[in-house]
Amino acid sequence: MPVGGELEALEFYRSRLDAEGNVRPWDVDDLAEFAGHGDPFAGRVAPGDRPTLSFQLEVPEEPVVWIGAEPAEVYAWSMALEQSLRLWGLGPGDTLALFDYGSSPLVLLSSSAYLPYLGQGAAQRLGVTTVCSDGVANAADRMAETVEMLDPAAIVLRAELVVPLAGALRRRGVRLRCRWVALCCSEGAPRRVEAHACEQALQVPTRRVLRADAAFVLAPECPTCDRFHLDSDLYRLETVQGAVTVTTLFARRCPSHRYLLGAAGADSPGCPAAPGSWRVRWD
Amino acid sequence: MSGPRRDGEDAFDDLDGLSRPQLERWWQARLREELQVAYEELPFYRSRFDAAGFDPGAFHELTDLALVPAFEKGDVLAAQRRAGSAWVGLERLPPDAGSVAVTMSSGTTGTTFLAWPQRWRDEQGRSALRAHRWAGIRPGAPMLLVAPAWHAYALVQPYLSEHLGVPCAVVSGTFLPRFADRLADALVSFRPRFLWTFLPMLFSLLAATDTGGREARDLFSSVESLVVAGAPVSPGMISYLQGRTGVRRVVEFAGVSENLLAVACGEGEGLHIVPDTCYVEVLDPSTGQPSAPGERGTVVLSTTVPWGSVYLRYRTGDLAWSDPGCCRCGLPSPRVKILGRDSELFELRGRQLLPYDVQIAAEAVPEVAGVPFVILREALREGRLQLVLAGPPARSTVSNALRQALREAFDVPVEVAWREGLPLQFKGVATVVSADGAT
Repeated sequence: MPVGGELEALEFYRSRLDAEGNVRPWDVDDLAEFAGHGDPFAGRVAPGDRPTLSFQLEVPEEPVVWIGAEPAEVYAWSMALEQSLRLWGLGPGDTLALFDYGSSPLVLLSSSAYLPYLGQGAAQRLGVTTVCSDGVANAADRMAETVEMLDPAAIVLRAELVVPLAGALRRRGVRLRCRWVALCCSEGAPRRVEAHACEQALQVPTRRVLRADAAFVLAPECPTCDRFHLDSDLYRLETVQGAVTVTTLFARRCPSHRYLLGAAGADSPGCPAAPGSWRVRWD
Repeated sequence: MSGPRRDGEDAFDDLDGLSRPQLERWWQARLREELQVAYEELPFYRSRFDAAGFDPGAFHELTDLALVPAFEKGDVLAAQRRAGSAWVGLERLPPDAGSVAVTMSSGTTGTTFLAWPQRWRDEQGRSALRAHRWAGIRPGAPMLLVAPAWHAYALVQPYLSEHLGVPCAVVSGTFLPRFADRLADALVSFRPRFLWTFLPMLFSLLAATDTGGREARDLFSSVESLVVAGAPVSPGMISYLQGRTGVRRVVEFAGVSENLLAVACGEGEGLHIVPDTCYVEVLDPSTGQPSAPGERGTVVLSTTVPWGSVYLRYRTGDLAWSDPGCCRCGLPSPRVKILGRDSELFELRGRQLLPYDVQIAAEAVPEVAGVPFVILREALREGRLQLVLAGPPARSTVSNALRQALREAFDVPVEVAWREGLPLQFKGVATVVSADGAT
């Protein structure tokens, strides 16, 4: 992990290091400010460097910000997805429907069918079949057809699609039989109230996904403790001046130190489902 | 524009260097094996072959394909309904397939699902690499990953990137025109030499440059080969796109979700069938016999990748002509030109036409080439041709010339109107719509 001098070589961090070499916490808006000066990686990748894989962030709208990674780092990121799917009980022979943009990490990291240089994606490693739809409201009828014909064991669903999908299922007379729906949005996690509304609308247990693509963060809401788990081998959590920040241990090409997660708070590890994982609250 | 040469730098492997008879023998062997596998392993085909009295052992020549019962999307949809499942017995998966990626057909007439194991992705990926090489892709420059993950093309992009060893940039959103700004940003940030895009997305990209006060030629300045897919591309459209983007090599791809792939070489008319993806017949719909060269017929596809969802003698619903003649570029594969969907056919004074026919006729007026337009359905019912073109009212001489060209081509009364703000989804793809759909 780059520290001290290595971070100082990166323009974005140079201005955020204090005298002791600590990084001042930051978020996507800080990146956007840097990206506005003509560097798509917002000063987080060494000048002239071209990562093997670059990802355009869904947020912010303008200026567009990119992150970059090498295959081993992307593989580590996919471990976070694998742990999520495993925690929620997906296994060999299951089908996972991904009703999200094709550019979402939840899609890309699931299979090397979608992302080069991944080797094996999270779903592949679990023996899970994947199907992806467009993740936009006017594709809801196709999603309902997918549910009817593929009978997925689980669905990843963008939060804004709950109502359109519920409507499309109703129109086709299809009842969801999947074990869970994982509700996601492009930055952060859907609110608890949105998850409840999803459960009501789709009549399926709903879990939330915490996403912070700028920091390569992907964390599942745990059915046991209702907190979001962040694997301590992949991430380090700190509370800095009352705010929860995350440092991504595998991010080297585009380091991610002390990203402001926007979570309501952090709890100490200790969930029986994953005793070593960091835990954050998001209401 | 120079096209692929079988002995030149675009040649991919020995398959490109076969003579036509050698290629036909290659296809025969591949299809013979595939028909046997289909009968032995895939219940969808076993029952259909039995019902038609077709014995795979009776297949010796490509002309014997006529003995194989053809089917269409409606048959697969019906089988899905009967089975209550996407899997209808035409999916060939290795015993150790494990995780499979599922894609969908285009959903205009109902959705069918296609299962693609790793084995298919390897074989199809290699074939797609051939097609991209014909189209000018080379190692060295970043590749933009742009296709939506529901589409089979998305699944070959990783293979292409890895085998070319190029860095990749994933454009956010999904492949809808409203994300054109995102694609524009990726072009500026990564300067790819090769770009593959759907025609409507390309028009959205051009519109984004117009509204953003940016020069389209600046946006595409790094691009040496621009591949357009998703709709039949006319010669006038190619010229228009070359002019707008400044890209000299604009290449048409034709693809069908069930595994049809064909690529224009730029030297002869039509698109070369990619042989290790598919074999294509163009048949006279009234006789079921092969259409004469250059004559319009229905497309019947047989995939030559024997893994995943195997489509053998599948009527795609496309209309095309074929040209079995040798091409100046030297590739042995025959050419086809897809002209549109049979569902897009409309009648005008007793003639069955496609929007593409109108597009070709309109291009007799050079100023109209590349201008998006729609055809109004209400006027067709009255035996008239009424076009709404995108843009500010053109000079009256252009409108007059267009009316004249269309009258001469179709011998019907013609009306022409211009409208700014034509809905984006029609851009680049001529369509018949009702009058209120054009607003």
